[in-house]
Amino acid sequence: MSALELDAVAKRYTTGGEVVCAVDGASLTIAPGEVVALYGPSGSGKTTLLELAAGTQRPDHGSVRFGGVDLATLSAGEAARYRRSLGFVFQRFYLHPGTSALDNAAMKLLFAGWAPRRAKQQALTWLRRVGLEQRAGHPPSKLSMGEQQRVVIARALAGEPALILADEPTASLDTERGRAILSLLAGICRERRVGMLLATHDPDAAAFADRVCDLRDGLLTERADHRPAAAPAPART
Amino acid sequence: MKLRTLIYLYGWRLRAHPFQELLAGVGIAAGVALLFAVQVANTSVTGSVEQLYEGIGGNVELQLTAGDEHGFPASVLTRVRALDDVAVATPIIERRAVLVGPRGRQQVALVGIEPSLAQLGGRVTQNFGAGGLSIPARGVVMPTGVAGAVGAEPADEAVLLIAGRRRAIRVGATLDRGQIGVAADSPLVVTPLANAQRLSDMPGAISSIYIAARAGRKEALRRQLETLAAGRLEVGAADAPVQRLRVATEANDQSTALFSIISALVGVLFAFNAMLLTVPDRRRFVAELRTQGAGTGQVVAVLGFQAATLGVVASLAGLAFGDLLSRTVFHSVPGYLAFTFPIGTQRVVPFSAVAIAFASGLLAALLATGRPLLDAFSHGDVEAAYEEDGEPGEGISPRARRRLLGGALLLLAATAAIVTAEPSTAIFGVLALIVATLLAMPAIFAACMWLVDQVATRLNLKLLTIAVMNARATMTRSVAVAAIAAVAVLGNVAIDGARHDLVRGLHAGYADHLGTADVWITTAGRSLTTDSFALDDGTLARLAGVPGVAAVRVYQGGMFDVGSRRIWMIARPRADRVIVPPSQTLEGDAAAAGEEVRRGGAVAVSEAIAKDRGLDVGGRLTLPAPAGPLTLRVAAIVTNLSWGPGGLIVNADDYRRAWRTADPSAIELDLDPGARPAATIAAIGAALGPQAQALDVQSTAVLEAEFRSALRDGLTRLSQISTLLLVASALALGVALTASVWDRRRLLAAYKLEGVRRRQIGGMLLLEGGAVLSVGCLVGLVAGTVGHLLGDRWLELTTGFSAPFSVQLGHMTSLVVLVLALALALVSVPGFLAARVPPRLRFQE
Repeated sequence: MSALELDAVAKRYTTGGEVVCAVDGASLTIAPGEVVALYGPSGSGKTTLLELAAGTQRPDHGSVRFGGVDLATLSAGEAARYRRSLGFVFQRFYLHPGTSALDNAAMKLLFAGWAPRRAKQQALTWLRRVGLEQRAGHPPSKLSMGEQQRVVIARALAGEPALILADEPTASLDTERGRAILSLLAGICRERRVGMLLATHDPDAAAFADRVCDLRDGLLTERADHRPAAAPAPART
Repeated sequence: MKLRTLIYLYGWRLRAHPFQELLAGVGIAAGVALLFAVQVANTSVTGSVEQLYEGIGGNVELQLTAGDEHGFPASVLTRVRALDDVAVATPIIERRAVLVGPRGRQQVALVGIEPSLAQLGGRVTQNFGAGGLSIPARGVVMPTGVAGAVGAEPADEAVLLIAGRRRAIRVGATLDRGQIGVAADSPLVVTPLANAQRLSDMPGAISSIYIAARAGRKEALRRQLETLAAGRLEVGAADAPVQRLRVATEANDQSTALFSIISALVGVLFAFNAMLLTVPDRRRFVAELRTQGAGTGQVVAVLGFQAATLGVVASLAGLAFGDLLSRTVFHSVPGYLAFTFPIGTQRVVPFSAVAIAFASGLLAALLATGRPLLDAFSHGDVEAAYEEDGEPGEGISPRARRRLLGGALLLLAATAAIVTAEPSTAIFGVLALIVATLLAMPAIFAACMWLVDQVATRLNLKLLTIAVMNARATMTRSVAVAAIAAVAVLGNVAIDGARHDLVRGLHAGYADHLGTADVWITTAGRSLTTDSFALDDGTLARLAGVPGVAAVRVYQGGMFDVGSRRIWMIARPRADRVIVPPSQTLEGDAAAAGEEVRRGGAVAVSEAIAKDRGLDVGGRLTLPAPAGPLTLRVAAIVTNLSWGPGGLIVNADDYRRAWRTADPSAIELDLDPGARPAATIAAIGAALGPQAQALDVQSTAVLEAEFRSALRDGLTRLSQISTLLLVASALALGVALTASVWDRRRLLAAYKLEGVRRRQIGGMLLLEGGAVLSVGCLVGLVAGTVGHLLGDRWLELTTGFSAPFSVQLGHMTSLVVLVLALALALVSVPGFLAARVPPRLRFQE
């Protein structure tokens, strides 16, 4: 059974009196542990598709289902509960300055009702997993960009999400660090059987996906000849 | 850099951060308004009397006065006019009274004048000369303000309660500002001299003579007048009444000054803290400018221009708001002065008040630019603001915290040493305490947040843990908010605590004064045993015969002018249980001194007068009196007896002989042990006959309550200042918290995207605000208690009143609850709106 299922989804916006078709009849499924890349240039509709997957936007046509449930039928509370079951990784990290990497990684768990001590233990486990155990007490300003992105990954995974939505997660990083981060993220997703929808305009990043879907002017086409890149060993960034 | 470029860049900032800039402006304006209004209110008390006497006296250079309300023979006027160096000499009668009209009553000064007064050219009286305003021979004229207050119209009958008599008067005319200038706002009733003598029961007597000397002969004339006065009358300068008011208001001014200084500092701090909210943005802006190659001079010009513009605009708005405050909230006249000085309701706005308030607002705006400016001058990393802990520009490094804490401790130690060595510097101690509190705040805040985090972790308080993370993330803002709360609570605890102690001390002193009798008869109105009245022996005999009355004693004295002091003369009957109250005795043995005064030829002297004249116990005090100079041995030094300029305690027989008057200023009555007070007081009223209408018969408890009420009026301004301080604090806190919440909407959107519920965000914001404010309030309470102690000490030293220290836990608790509730209520609306931020916002970057 697939984790996420988009069926003939369409979304239009009106901008400056002009109707823009951001997503036009896109169909896509993501199975547990599968990494799917949405590849396309800026303005191609990647973020809109991620928003539809996150349930923060409703499609004009078609349906977005998760675990068989149509997201359009969810109430506000149910939608929030759905989003709590996801993990988000963005280009901008939004880490809390002035607090430690550990606190940042534990933040989502605290909101989810975990006891502070247990939340921090869980966060530490994930910081260890992403190679940041020794840096757990450091504030974000003392971490490199790559390390900050690892904290974000630990934060996203600490809640044991069913699906990860990643929007240009390596755009702030150089090629080498970007690869390392994606390798780590994709590896963990496969290992933990967590699906991931990765929006990117970087062909190197897309190469880490199991499947790549090109998105151009709202139209989604899956590449038939894609071969996933071999994952290098996780390294400190 | 060109002006238009500076304006363009500021316009850019205004468009980018309109809300933040507006909040900073509101903070500065609130501080400036508070500072301006308090200054104007203080100046207006003495300023109104100064204007009145200048308006009446015009070119007057010297005054010959009786010193007390009984006056001196009008025949002295003929002798004065006969002096060669006199150009103009005009007699005046001045007597305190209560004007009763159809709509109410008001304390006034009855002023009796002659047309010759117009020759002095005073703006108020120049129209009273021949051919000008005329007053009917047996009528009175009064300012429209006074007439309006009691509901009197021209040609109406009104009543004057004066010297223990009820007098019917006819209102000849009411006079407006165009006719009598500033006197239109003063509590006066003016009548021809002869009518004033009749109304005040002073036949053939006058209160003073206003004299203008011939050109260049003022000093020669003064000597001639002193010879003529022969120690029986006072020869004073034209502004002698104003000087006396200044001395009388000194205690009030000193206490108000203390609290004004605290308010001023708080005002400047509000403004400063409001600007602090913009510091992180400005620091990031500086980093951006420097990255793009802007030189230090250019950065300074940009920051200076922006701060100066904001400071000027906000200060002008603050002045306008302060003006409104001084017209409305601070417009009352201190009641305890109104019964003895004709204080008007006009506002006096000195240039200094405008300049100080404006400059403070501007200074606060410029000072707060200091941190971004440091970035401009630093030779290190141009993007230093991004390298620090916390949100860019928000960090306060542990090293900086330790340094500031060290500075605070040093300041406190130095201040403690100085105040111990020289107690009169206690006022500077209060100021140093405020500064030290602010310096220590970052370190205290960091320590408290660590502690709260530990507690939250132990008790599994998830939202509190997150709230602490948030508070730490925006350290500069959080510390600024905590500092505002601390200073607000500090100021309020110190002001209200010291005020409470002062009231307690003053009340204890007056209770001692009244404790010698069960019932008192005094003139009507809140005269507090200071106005004399005539009472014949027959009435005294009738009072003694009232069932339930055990004893009747004649108490004398009243207000008495000597030099620059209006002294409270307490002439106690020898039979009083206590003559010199032990609780008010500072030097000498109270019981022995009491016996000495009772025997005669001795006096208990207030500390202020003793200091003024260099007197100690055993010394000699000589006073001008109608029967000739009166010399008394100093038996004890006492407090100022609840009257700023001080008092003298003599026995009534000495007073009667020296002042040649048997008029009481109060009648003391002891009741039989079984007597019913209410019935006996009614019977006493009946025994007074027609005079009862112009006299008050009150139990000691009622008279004490009257004093308390006068005292409350007198210290009203202090309550107003502390209330305004609280309101301004709540506003400033609301502003700071609002800015802090609103700027975090994108972060909140990220939370929302991850499924965090709106109520969780709301709860987190409330907890964060509550935690930050609680730290501030706690620090404010501790520092405020020390400030209260220092304030008490300073008040005792400067006013001569006792102010015994007492901690008011109830007040402190309610204050903290109020600050928290007001600030959180103010921030709840923007908090609610911020919590509604759509999660989509996170994708739109």
